[in-house]
Amino acid sequence: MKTTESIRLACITIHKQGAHEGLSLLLPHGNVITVELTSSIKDIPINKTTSTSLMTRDMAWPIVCFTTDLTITHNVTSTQCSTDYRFAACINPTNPRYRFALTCDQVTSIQCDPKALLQLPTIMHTQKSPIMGTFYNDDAIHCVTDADHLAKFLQSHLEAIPRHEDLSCELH
Amino acid sequence: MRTTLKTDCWVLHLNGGYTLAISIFQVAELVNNIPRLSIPQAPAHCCYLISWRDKLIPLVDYQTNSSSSDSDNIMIVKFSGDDKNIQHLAFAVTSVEKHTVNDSDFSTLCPTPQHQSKLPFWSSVISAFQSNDGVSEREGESGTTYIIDIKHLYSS
Repeated sequence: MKTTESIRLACITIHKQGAHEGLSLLLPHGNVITVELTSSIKDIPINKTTSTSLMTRDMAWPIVCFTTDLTITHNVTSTQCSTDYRFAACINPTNPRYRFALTCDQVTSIQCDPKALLQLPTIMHTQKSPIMGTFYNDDAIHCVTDADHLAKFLQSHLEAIPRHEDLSCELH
Repeated sequence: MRTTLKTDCWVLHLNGGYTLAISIFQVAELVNNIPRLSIPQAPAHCCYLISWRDKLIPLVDYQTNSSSSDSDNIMIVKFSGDDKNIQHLAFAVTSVEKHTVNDSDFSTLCPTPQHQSKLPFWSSVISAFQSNDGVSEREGESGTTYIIDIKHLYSS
């Protein structure tokens, strides 16, 4: 008898301020290196400017804050991050230059049948979107993506963030 | 004796003021009060899915400021996909009505730049007709009812 292997995915939830509804992103487990409390986020001075980053695993992870429609919140401070969100998930794409920490309210692990992951219909595609598909479970929609698609979506934002050159670390 | 060929269709008055005609065989169901599932960074006219009969169906809503209103009417339309499977697409509508169109009513559309800039689904238009009985002559509408290739719209 042939059985289908289920897969485990990391589920990152961002709530709409003051509401329970929000955005749920599903990524391969290996794309999330660690999850830290937002109280660990620091405003680090670099070259006469400030980079809001999380220091963990001997590296600085620039902070990215999304709204529930994946709009990037600019110029956030460590105080704002710890007020508005509980956790920061460290996301590591293939190119470590574009690693970042995504602020969120919850990170869980879910198991699902790969056949239940549905490709986004062509009519809903845009070139810039990092969303590759959907998973519908318990009357809730989860958006399927991965670290490389998120990094591509954030590329110009991440390139503008000042950082120390500490790319010698290998995470893959 | 001269005979006139007539075709029965459903006319969909879409949010945003556009009017489409579809075959009576393409109607799957008219639903309302169905929750919209938001997909971030999707095109403004199609940024929600709806869950219908255990399927997730893209919802086309040309009134982009209608946000997440879930008290609206939604027409679910079926069509044959690439692999000949039946697929579905949903349209947010203000109203729908049955209509009989005469072959002589059909017009040849000239693809003017004005048409192309005003019609978000222009590249999927197959034909059109002008209604003589007021079906498409509501306030704010152009009076033209379009027939579109839904498979093309879904895949574009």
